[in-house]
Amino acid sequence: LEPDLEKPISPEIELLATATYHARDAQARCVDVAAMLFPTGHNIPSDALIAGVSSGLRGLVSAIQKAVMPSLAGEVETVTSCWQLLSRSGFLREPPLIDFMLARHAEQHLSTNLAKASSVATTEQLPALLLDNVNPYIAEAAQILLAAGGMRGISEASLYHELSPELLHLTVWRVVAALQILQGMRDSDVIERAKELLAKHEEGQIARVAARKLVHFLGKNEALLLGSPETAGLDLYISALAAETGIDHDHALRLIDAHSCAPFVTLLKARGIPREDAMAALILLKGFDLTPREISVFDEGYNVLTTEVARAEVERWAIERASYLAFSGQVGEGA
Amino acid sequence: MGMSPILTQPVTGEVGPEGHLIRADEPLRRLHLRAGGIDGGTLAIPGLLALVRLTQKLKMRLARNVRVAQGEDDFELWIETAYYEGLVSLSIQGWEAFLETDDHQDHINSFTLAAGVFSLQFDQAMRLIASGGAVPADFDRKNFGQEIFDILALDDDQTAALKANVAKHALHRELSILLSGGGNAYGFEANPVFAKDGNFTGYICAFSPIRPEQAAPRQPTAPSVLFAQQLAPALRQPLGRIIANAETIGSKLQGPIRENYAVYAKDIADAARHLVALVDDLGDLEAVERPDFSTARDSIELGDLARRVAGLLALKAADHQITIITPHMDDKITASAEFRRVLQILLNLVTNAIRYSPDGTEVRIQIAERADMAEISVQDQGAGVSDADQEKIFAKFERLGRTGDGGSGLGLYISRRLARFMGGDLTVETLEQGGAKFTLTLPKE
Repeated sequence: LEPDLEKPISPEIELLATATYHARDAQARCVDVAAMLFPTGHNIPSDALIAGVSSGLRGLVSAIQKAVMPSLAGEVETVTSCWQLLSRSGFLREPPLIDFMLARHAEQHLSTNLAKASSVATTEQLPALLLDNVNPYIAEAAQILLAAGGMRGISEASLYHELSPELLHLTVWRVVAALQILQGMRDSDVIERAKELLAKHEEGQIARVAARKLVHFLGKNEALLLGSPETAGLDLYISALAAETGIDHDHALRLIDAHSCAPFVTLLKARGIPREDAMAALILLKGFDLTPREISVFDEGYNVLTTEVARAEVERWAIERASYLAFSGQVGEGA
Repeated sequence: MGMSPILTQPVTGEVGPEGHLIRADEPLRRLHLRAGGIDGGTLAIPGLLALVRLTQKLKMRLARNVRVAQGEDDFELWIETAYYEGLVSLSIQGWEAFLETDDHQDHINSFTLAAGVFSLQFDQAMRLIASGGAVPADFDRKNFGQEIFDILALDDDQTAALKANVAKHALHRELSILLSGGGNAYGFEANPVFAKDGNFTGYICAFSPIRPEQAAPRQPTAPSVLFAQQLAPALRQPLGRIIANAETIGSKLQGPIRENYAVYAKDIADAARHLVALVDDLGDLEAVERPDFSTARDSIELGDLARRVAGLLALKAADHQITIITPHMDDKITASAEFRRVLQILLNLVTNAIRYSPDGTEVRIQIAERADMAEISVQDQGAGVSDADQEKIFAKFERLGRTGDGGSGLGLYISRRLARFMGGDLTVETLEQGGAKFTLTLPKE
């Protein structure tokens, strides 16, 4: 952390400490500038994406801090220091957490696209129609899905409610560790509140999990309604697509929100969607981003590509993603 | 809307801290018994047990779909778990399919009767999920949930063949191999099983006893085999705990400690990590020194491989402000060798380059082709390797006098052996401008 200029330290130590802090930054700047100039991905992330992920991460950390240490609400300095400590620890850079934030960004983007393009109101979409279903599991899951979907983006806390148990567990304890380091002491109240927060978290209350439960119970019975984002709603549509192609929900979101429409087209083919329905889904979710070139690639390629080849390709993507999320963490820890 | 029959009551059960199924509604109990479990014993349904373990670890409430194999078919269950003082309660919903399929054991039984004395069934992930017939009395029930590779004495070719099947999901193939244990030798035939929708769901293996003279001249239980199969897993677990605990102490999560104690804790964690790396290296050493060791032939685009390695080690390099430079996207050279092994060699070379280079320097990965060979080289800006040491460095346990840097002295020895097994070589030279350049040559495709 930057030397605290408010504290009385001898002037030469103060000067050296400040000089060293900034001198060391010279090497780090090489890495930062190189990453900005020569990003490793094919598509350079937009400023909007970076800002969205950054503010999402800050919101997530801040919400967890407030939940485990309510007295922090007005302490801007500690909140900022905690964020800095976590940033420097490398934890906030870990792929599973960034992947989660990117998936939320994709969710938001696709949701906006769908709302603009769709003529079906939320109240007429499948989750609302299932509220009074005779199967209590279906009715309950539909209720949870609608409630969780409605809460999305309303508060900072809504973000950590959406984290998977594994990721929430990891994040909460990292935040607790950072707070304890800053306080210089073990605070059993903070630990107790962290335990409570984790114990109260129910995976079944997450929108995408409720959607997956609905897909589980509906199965092929509602294939027609589940096959269109307009009638199924985004969560349920993505869940059905993910379940049928063997990938996870967040992976499906990120593939659909990719710079090109080709991954989404491949997913649609892997699911065996007829060309006309695939085109409709494409327009609904990607209509505002489609270029003439992309539409022509879709037009020429969709009927030639076979479902088997598409499925095999999607399966490979799933394996690559799983390896990346698991392995990058291990290597990053210097194992 | 057409629906499955509705069950408003979930099937429930309770699992103890050690994974024992201590209470279960009848359908769950039946499923557990069919999967090879016993009343009050460890939950024998792998997918379910994994979810229970995760619930115990996180102490949180989970809700997930779990795939369960039963006979020829796979079923998906919706399961919600909750944790309370070491116990995990299970609530299984969407149970319909199981109630309708009470006789699936018939398949495995008939298979067993026709083909051998007993049979073992493995799921898509090659984990043991069921047994049938006269399973030997000394067969350890802890094997349920373990991977086939951990249970049977497979050689590298057989392991590769089975793994290839798993990856491709549908390859009819029969294997005859030997299971040695408990004083008896068995031959077995592994047959892939497919669900009604054509998806690969695992293997059923039928075992029959064979006379001792039929048994392949397998290497006697050499210490090295014992190490890889038994000692290595036994060592990794306690070492993992040492690392985790030392890191916890070092990070002062449990309260402030004296700074030098935090440094000691970091030293302990580093030493344990070094031991884990050594355990891994010794396992590889055992493999490459076996007379029957062989490698597969994959088509490897070396530029792509270089970029993967750079991506995997980017964080490690960034810690030392080291930049990894990879070949241009348009440069493509394809080699014919085993992908996994080449990746292992390249990771080893780049890790070494990062380890022995000054902070803030560059590590450059380049690809080239000469006649019928493809080359991939790793060049650093470190101290280089003197002429006298350029052969010594590839010797077993050779550290060139270095200590305390996390190396085992086996990495380059293993890498060169692997390279030569694949029809190539691994060499080193010192560059005029300083730094070492390791070059891996492989047959071109």
